[in-house]
Amino acid sequence: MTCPYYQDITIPSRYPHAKAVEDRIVLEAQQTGYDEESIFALRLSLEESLTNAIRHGNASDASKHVSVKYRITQDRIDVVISDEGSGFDPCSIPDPTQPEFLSRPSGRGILLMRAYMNEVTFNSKGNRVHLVKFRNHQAGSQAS
Amino acid sequence: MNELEITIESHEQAVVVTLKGSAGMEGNTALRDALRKVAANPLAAKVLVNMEQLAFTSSLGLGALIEAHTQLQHHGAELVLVNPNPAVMKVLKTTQLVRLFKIQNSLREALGISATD
Repeated sequence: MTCPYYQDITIPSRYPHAKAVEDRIVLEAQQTGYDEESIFALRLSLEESLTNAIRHGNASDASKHVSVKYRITQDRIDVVISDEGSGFDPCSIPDPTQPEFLSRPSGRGILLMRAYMNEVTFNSKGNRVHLVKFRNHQAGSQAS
Repeated sequence: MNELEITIESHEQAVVVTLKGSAGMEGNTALRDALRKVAANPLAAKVLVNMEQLAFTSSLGLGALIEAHTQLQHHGAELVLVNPNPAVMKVLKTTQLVRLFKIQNSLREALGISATD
């Protein structure tokens, strides 16, 4: 049995480049037969993680790069996104569903990733996130 | 469907902003600009965002809606979301923004037009 390789793409910190990568991964997942709900979850989590990498990690500096590694199999989708920023502590982000934060226009990316993917893990520095979506597996309880 | 089409119509009772497509990385700037313009000088007490044909939103799209909501409140006006599709509604529920926004099921209902009109 062969183990599929991770595809490895590096892009400048620009939304059109990120969108092209997102479209490529989503298309491959569709061609691998993932259902509409999984595709929506994948697209949403890619949007959130790529936006965070460009906006917060690399401070929208186009000279800095975002690395995207992904692997799509019949059973699971893995995506690893890294930026060149100094990282952050995911636990330091306040819960955006609390009444005092509800009208803040930002700060929902991690909540959405955790709700729609099956696994979301950050490295200790906080500049790399690993997203996992299993086929036919109910995602986080908050989205159900 | 990746791009976002935005149509703005002024009615007697409300300004209607109709969204078609995707409010993510690509559509967000256009959405933010359009809503800021509408909210800066609201021509009616209500701004209805018709989401029936909005296939996708990320937190960027939600942020644009929240900004407009806050800006309109300062003018004594309100933002109402109309008929989000089930996938977008799930995003609103997950983020608990259903507690922040008023959401109505149809444009007719939001415009106060009864079935017999």
